[in-house]
This record gives sequence, structure tokens and C-alpha cells, in this order.
Amino acid sequence: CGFHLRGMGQSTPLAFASLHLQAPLTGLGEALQRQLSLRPDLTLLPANAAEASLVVDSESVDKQILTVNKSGRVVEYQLVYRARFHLSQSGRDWIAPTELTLRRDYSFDESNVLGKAAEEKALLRDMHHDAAQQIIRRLAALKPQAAPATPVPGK
Amino acid sequence: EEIAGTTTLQAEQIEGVGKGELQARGNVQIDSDGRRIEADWVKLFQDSGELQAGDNTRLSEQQNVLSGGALRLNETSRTGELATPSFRLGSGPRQGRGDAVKLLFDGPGKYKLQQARFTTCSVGEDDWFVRAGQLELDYSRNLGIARNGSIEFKGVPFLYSPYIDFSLDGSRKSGFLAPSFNLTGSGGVDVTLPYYWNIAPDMDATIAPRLIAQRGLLLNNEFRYLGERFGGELRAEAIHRDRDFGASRSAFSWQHKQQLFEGLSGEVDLQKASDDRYFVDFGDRIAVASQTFLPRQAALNYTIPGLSMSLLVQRYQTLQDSANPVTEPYARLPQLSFNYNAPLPAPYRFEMSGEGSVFKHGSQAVANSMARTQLDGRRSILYPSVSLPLERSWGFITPRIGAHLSRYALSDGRELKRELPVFSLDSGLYFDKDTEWFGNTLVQSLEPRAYYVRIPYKDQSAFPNFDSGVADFNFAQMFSENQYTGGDRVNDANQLTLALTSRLFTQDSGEERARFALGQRFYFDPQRVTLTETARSEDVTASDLIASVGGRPHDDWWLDASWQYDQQAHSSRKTAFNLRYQPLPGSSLNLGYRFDKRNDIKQADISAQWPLTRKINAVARYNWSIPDRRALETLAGLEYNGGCWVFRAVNQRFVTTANETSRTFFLQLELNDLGKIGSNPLQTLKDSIPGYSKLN
Repeated sequence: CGFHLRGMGQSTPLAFASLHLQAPLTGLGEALQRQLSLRPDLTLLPANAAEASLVVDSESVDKQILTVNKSGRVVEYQLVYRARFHLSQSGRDWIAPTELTLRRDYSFDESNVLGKAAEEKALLRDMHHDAAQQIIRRLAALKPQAAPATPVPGK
Repeated sequence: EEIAGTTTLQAEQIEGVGKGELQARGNVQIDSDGRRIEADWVKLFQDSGELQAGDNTRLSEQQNVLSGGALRLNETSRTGELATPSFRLGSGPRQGRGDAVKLLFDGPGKYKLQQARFTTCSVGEDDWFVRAGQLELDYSRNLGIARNGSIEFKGVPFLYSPYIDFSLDGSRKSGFLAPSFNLTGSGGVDVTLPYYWNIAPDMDATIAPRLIAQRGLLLNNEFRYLGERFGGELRAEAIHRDRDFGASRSAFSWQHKQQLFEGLSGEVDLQKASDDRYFVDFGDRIAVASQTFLPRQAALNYTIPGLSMSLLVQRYQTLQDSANPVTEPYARLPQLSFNYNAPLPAPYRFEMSGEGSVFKHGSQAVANSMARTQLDGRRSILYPSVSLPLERSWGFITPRIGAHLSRYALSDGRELKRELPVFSLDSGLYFDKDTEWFGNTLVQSLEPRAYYVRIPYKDQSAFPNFDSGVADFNFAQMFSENQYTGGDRVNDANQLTLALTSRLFTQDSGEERARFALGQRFYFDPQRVTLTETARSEDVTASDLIASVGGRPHDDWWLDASWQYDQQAHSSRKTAFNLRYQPLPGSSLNLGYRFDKRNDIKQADISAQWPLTRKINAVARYNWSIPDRRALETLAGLEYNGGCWVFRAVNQRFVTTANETSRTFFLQLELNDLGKIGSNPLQTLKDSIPGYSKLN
């Protein structure tokens, strides 16, 4: 059916062997740190020693009402998580600032506010993990020859 | 001929060349440093740097153009005056224009005008003007001040003020914001006139008196501040005597965040309302009116690589609806929690999470007959684990073993403990293939994943329930050990979750365009630990089946759908479907359907912002509860974009309690760049119509 194991057959190494991660210690930063450090083809290094820098510029979480019932009570919320990141190499953007938006729905239970708050946290962790995977997939898609293109003004 | 290096003078006739005074006549044009002066005649005084010109003059510099009668200008100090000026000033789309009886040059970028009119409307559209006895335009500070002024819309003056100030570049500026006019079912005529006070670059306030015909004057204050290491927002609103309610009422909230030192931060969230019905009566948005639990909490967070800790003190104010009473949540006074992970010899990983909490039941719940067993207590949990994550580009496998340890000391004197070993094995493979999709080259992945969990049974029926509940069944929950949130129940498990995900991502950038997922959990043992739900019967060996599909298959289309199917009952338990078509900003159409058996939800939802003509946009939402044959929210309105102003008329109705609805009619006129925007009805439109965007 045309599927092949990722990374087998055609070799798809990363376009760089070392990376600096500039991100908060919690949330997405922690998920990225964890997932990147598990890659055998990559070393995480300080900014001045690494070939490229992955920067998490900002993160935000917004909780929106998704469903109300006939009594005007909230039945479901939606968490909207946004993260902005970019990849730079010696002061130039390799991946321009990009925003990821992820959404998770969850039902609300008025008799279990604390439990739902814990569930909200678990969904946030899941989104951090998901966002980290999406970012790493974009890193993996970079081609070495496609390296630094446009200089960033002001740098 | 050239004078003084950078200046060029052209005219039909020039006299006095080489002397201190120079006169030119007939189509005079002087160019210097990108500035051009055109006039019938010009006198130049080279010693003082002064220039006089008439009878018709025009001064242009970059995008600034001033034309009028007699001109006097000192080149060095940029002072002088221009009679009967008409002007075009500023740059970009925010250019302002107007006319006056007299203009005074008051230094670089500064102008004072007498008997002036000012607008940001383009030439030929004289829809609105700021009229002023004296108008100051300061482009060095992007500030406009109209003294003894009024605002004129379509020739009708409507807001007189001795002092109106406004921003010349759309940045924050003190002044009156667009007033909003509501007509509500419960309060009658309702007018808000917000005043924005830009106290300092890092501090501002909005003071919004709100006159509600049937209740009285509600004073609404919002204060925001920002520092290098802190930021916060304070809101207070009060009505001295609510004529309809018969008492004074108020609400208060304070959110503050502070970076104390490297790694240590604190935050405070205090909210309070005077009575249970406060937000039902005064909230003009669902998000405000539906609030039930107001937190009062403070937290200290400490984070260093490998360790995060948090100390929380939290209590809630519960706003009860007599037709629909709810149990008040436990207060945590305090809760200390931490997560720690340490490097072990590679590739092992050690993790430990834990918490210690003191739970106190709420004071309100005591009087409430439906309250749960009112038991206070202390709980501590420690959960160390060791895992062996093995990751390759084509897959991963992670065995993990841990011990979940808990201790309780309860107010009735009981001491309980629970010690459970937890074993899990998570594994997955990644397959890829190249594919085509709407003419794009994409990679399609196929990602099977298997997750096994084993936790032995421990009778927990005597354990209290401080903060636990059954989590929603979804893809995040499928791959976690415990079906219960909070710390009071740990399920017995001998179960395997199987899931298959397929993603489409672009080959060149790795951007995810769409994903499809399917998953189910299989149980090898019957369920024994329960919370409030009935245990699943012994013959049930598989969970519901869940499927989801979502993404942006085409640039203009977004799709998000999920389905939870109960295989025993052969029926859907939960369905959600959302489709958005948004070909352009300002044109979006949303279709939604939600079904939830447990919560008795079956709703259709349609919303749109759609251009009817080049200038008129329709906005609408219709949220219909199918079994109740009742609209939960209806919204309809029009937006008229006059080019340099926008007018909005929006009617909204939404359910607030079991047998009440709130109805609001918003009218808003927004003059571009003259003031920031009031929160309504824009916030309502943003909440109700996904993809809503502002016209101007």
C-alpha cells in the first residue's frame, strides 16, 4: 500500500545535529526538552555551541464555553492552546515565527469542580505533547540545502 | 538656481540674489530636504531663516500636505503660521485631514489649529468630524487634543466636551470609548459610556458608568498594570441601590502575577460577588452570566530544570441557582504539589510526583441538604516511577513501573492508606507514504499505538471523595493509567488500548493539515473500583469506540468531528461536528451539531458573519436545542462599514437559568481611530461566531 517505516529505506536525518532550546521550563518547553532529548540523532547544546536555536516565543490558553444546556448551565468547555515558535540559525530565521492552535473539548461537571480542574490540566499536558510533536515534525521536514534564506531585519 | 547647498528655488522672476533678502514671483517652487513649498510669491530672509509666502501656498513633506493662504515659517525653529489651511497629516491608512481658520506651526510635527475640523475619513467622505475651537495635533507624541469641541456625525453634532483627546496612530490613548446602548429584558434601557484612562505606558484604567433604567447606576472600573516582574488586573463594580433588587450590589476581582526571583513566581486570583444572582442580572455575555464558581486563590510556583513545585491556597464562592443547586467544592488549605524527574544512567528515567493537601468543606454546603458527606481531611500522595523510553524515528516503546502511595487522615479520626504498584507499556510505530491532496504533495502517516496498563485492585469504597471524578473518555484519557481525575480513586486495571492515527502533513514544511484517529480500550478484568458510577458489567470487555477527524483539508475549510460509539447498546453516546467555511476575513460560516446522551444534549448550531453588500455585513447565530424545541442563543445583527466609521446593531437572547432568558439589544457607532472600542457587542460577536473579524 506504499507505507514504509519512517526513517527506513530513505534516510531522513535532521538538517542539524545539535540544537539549542529556548523555552519555558514547564509546559511546551518541558515536552520539547523531553522529546528532543530522546532523539539519538540530536544533541541539545547551549545557544553559542548549537547549530540552530528553537525558540518558543509565546504560549496562551483560552477557555471558551462550548455548550450550554437548557438551563443556561455550561455543559462543555473548549480549551484553545496557542503556541508561537521559530527556528533560527546564526541570527536568521530558518522557520519563520509560526503559530500552532490546538483545541480540546471537555464536559463540565458542577458537582466536581476540582476533578474537572485536574482534567483540564491533563488536557493541557496532552496539548503540550501534541504541539511538541508537531514542532518536531516541522524540524524533521527541513532540508539542509534549504538552510538560511532571508535575513531578519534588526538582527 | 541653488542657494545654500540643499535648497532649490524655481520661479518666473527672482530678485536680490546674493543679498540677505530674496524675492521670487510667479509659480514659485522651493525644494529642500524632501520638503516642497509652492506659492505665487515668496520672500526669503536668509539671516533669520524665515520665509513668507502668499497668496496661495502649498507645503508638502512626505505624506503631509498643507495648503492655504498667507504662510510664514521659520525654517530653523519650525514655527510660524498658515492662514485658512486645509491639511492632510500623518502617514499610512491612519492619515487625518481637515481644515481650519488658522494653523500655527509649533515645532517639528506639532500643529495648533483654530476653529478646526478633523477626520480620518477619506476625501469625499465627510461622514464625521471632530470640531474644535482649538485643535492640537502632535505627531511627535501621536496625540490629538480638541478643546471646546464636539463630534459631528452626518452633520449632527452629538458629543460636546470641553476636552476630547484621541490617538493619531491608533495606539492607547485616554478618552471616551465608543458608548454602547443596550436594551435588556430585565433592566430596560442600559447605556454604558466607558472612559479610558491611559495613566502611564504600563498602567491604564477603564471607568465605565452604566445606567440601567430599572435598576440605577452601576459603576464599573477596570485597572490594569504591568511591570517588568509583575502584572495584574483589578476590577470592581458596584450599584449603590438596585431599585429592582432592593439592595446594594457589587462584584470584585483581582488577578495578579509576580516573578519573585529566578524560578519562583506567585499568583493571586480573588473574585467575589455580593449575591448569587449578580452575574445573571448584570452579565451581558453568556461567559459572564453563567459563572457559578468564583475562585479565591493564591499560588506560589517554583521551577528549576527537573523540578516544579506549587503551593496553593484555594477556596470557591459558589453562586447558587435555587432551581438548580450545586455542591460546593472543597477548599484546599493548602495544597503542596510537585513533579520531579531525575537523570538516571541512560536510558532510564526516574520521575516522582506528589502532593500533600488539607481539604476543608465549604461553609455554604452545610446549609445545603444535598451536600455530600461533610468530611474534612488531609491527604498525601507520592508516586515514584522508573521508565525505560526507547525512541527511534520509526517507533517507540516505553515500559514503566511505579508505586502509587497515599495516606489519609480524616476529621472523623479514621486513617486510611493505599499502596498500589502500577505497570504500563506504551508502544507505537510510524509509517509514512507520499500522497497527493488537492494538488499538493503530502506525506500521509499511519501510526498504530498500543498501551497496556496493569494496576491491582484495592477496595477504596471507604475513601472520601475530595476532588475526584470520572474523566471524559477521549484520546488523552485513553492513554492514561487512571480513569479518575483527582487523587481519591485509583482504578484497578488490566487493560489494553489500541489506537490508529493517520495524519496528512505537507512534505516541504511538515505542517499538519489533517488527522484521523480511531481508538478503543479492551478490558481483561471486570471493574471493581468505582466512585459514584455503577461498575461496568462483567460481560463488557471493550470500551466505547472513539473516532475523530479534523484539520484544514483546504485553505478555506476547517473540519472538526468526533464520535463516541457505545458498542453494547449499539448507539452513539457522543457526537460533535463542526465545519467552518472562511474564504476571507469577515466572511465565515459555521455549522455545528452536538449530541451528548449523558447530559441530554442534542443541539444544532449555525453562525455566520457574511457580507450582504460591499458595506453591509450580516452577523447571526442560532443555537437550537432539538429535544427542548428551544433556542439557547439567538443573535442577529447588521454591521455597516461606512469607510471611516462602523455602525453595529445586534440583538441577542440567551438562556440564563432554567426559566429565564436574557435579551440584549446593542447599538454601537465606532468612528475609526477616534477611540478604542467598547467591549460590547464585539466581545459577544467574538464569543458567538467562530472566525468573527472586525470590519475596520
